[in-house]
Amino acid sequence: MIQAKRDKIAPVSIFFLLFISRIVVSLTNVQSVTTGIMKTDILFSVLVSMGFTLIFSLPAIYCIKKHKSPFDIKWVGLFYSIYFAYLAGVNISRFSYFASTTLNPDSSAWVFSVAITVCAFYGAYLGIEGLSRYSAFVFLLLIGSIFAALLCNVRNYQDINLYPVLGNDRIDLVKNTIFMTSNSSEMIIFLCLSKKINRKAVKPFVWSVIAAFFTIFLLLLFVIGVMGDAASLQAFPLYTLFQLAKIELFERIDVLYISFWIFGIFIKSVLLIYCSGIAFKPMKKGVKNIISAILALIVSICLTEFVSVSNISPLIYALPFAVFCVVIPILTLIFKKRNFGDELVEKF
Amino acid sequence: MKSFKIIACVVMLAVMLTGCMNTMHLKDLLVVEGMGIDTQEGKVKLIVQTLKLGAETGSETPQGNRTYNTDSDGETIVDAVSNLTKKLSKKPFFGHNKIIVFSRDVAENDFKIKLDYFLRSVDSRIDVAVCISDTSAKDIIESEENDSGVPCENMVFLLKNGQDAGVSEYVTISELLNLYTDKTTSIYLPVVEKKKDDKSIRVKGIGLFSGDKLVYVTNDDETNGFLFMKNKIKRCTLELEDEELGRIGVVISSPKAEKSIEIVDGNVNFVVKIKAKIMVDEVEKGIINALDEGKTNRICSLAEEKINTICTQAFIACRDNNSDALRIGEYLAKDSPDSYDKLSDEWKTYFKTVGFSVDTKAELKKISDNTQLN
Repeated sequence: MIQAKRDKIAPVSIFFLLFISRIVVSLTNVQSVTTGIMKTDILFSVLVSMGFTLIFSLPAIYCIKKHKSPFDIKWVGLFYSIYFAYLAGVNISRFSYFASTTLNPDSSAWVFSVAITVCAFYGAYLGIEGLSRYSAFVFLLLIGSIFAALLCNVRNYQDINLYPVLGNDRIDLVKNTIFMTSNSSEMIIFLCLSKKINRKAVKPFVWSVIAAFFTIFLLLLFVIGVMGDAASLQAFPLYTLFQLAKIELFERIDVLYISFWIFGIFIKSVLLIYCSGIAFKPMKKGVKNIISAILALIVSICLTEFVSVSNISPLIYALPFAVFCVVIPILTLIFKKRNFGDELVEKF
Repeated sequence: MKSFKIIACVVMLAVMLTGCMNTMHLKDLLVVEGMGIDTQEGKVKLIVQTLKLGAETGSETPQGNRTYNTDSDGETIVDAVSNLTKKLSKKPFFGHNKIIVFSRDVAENDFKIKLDYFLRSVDSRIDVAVCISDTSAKDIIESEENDSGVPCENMVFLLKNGQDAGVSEYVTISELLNLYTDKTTSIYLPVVEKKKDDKSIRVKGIGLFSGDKLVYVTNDDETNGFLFMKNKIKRCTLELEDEELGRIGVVISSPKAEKSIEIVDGNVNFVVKIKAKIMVDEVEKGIINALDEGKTNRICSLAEEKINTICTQAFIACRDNNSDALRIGEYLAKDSPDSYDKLSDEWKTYFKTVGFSVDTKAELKKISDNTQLN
């Protein structure tokens, strides 16, 4: 008889959680995740950034394999805790910006930020098990929505819209690759959650990255193939793609985009606040989650109320990515001693 | 924790039970079905067709016109929309808008300026149809469309069905913006005019733009040829002439045009290859003459010749008016990227020298619905 392990998740749940986590980023306004114009060359950036994401994930994967975790060091864990809360705030601000500019221009962004943060805090407090089960449902919904949008846009797709292939300068291509790569925080979430997974989960993690980038590739291919150069004029090109989707009477399915972003942002913010809680070991779980949620809310409100999300340089994601997702795991691999403590306690 | 859950539930309930807050009743909305934009003395003249909500029809199937038209003016489109609200004390709702009609005057003079509103405004949806009125936009919006329920809806059907039948084009805001933003491509939009009886409208042709100005409206053959090359036709009819068989009516179904660019002696040549299935619908002297293989082959040749001719006419109309509505520049980018890099900056000048060749292969599928070929 298989005995259920409390506060542990199956490897397949990691696939669902991290796939959703990465996809959610691509739903936001293009100015905050890309630069230049929307041309076919952006697809090359997607593929290259998938390769870079996998390469930059190696330090985190080796940390797991060598039983070395940066979270074991209390002050490093504290910084990671702040980083996760910051990421949650950034992601919440992106949805709040969309909701307050496109969905309901009469509402303020902070209202949406507060609502999402409250839900995220509650979700994080419940723990990872419930979230992992919910992620399977959201994954199916997300795949269904994307499939419906692409299918309904097949008639609008024109391959001539993909030409000329090159529209961005080389420097913009490089920047796009950097920004897309640095919007992936999944490797560090994976490292943080590694002790919460029942079995080895490197393969589900790798597949989640590949599947997420492949889906983004497909979506962007359709964005350019359907809208052509007009895609560059849209703040939320994927939203516009869903607006244009149509088969006979079945049309204007932008509600699918909105709903799967709501589900997705819930999962991502819960996941980040949960990780923020477990990255820093001292203090009670509830207190940590409250502090992380408040921090995320402050970041989100700062980004939406005091600076325009569309004007924020993607560098504010790129630099923390380099430090927390690449440099610290590499330093951990080099300098930190192995820690078998948790496994030993479990076996005992 | 228990108290937290109770507080969370109360907060959630408080948020969820506000469904009726800030709601707008349907009767308080001005549901826009169509929109026309004219200019007069530098001012924007806006006319909107809105639903007559709550109108009693007296029967299960609503009969007669269920809309009314309201106009307003302003310095800009936003200003005109705002003035519209002042006039009617109702909030215009553009979510159902089906068509935007620009007057010929706007299309010929300041189309670019008027386009910006449809890009930025939250009221504007990207899948709305666009067309040009041969006269004023007001004439078209006010057309009764033979007392149809929602005339603007009929206009959209007219354009869609016209496109399928090869007589008109259906262009949305999204496609318009795509054409407008491309470096080499020119805009094209359907042009409609009011019929002489004043009760309905008809398609006049396709308006070709050079830069951001309307320069030419195609005739019926040019429109047909244009749509053949655009792969927009689902099923259309062609009339052919033959000495022995008299007038022949053929139906062309699902024609497919493959377009490419050839560089011949340093010149750009636009090559179109069309494959079409034809069905003989009517032969004037068909009862006298049995249609043997030779005659059917001749009908195919006539159809091929006709398609080649109208496609050439359409191309010449575009080239002579310096309008790359056929997106030849983009095909150049596809087939010869190096040439595109060299020519795209001066495409307007170079476009006039582009050559053209068309080759149609027509295959006879049926003589009539009841007579299958061997």
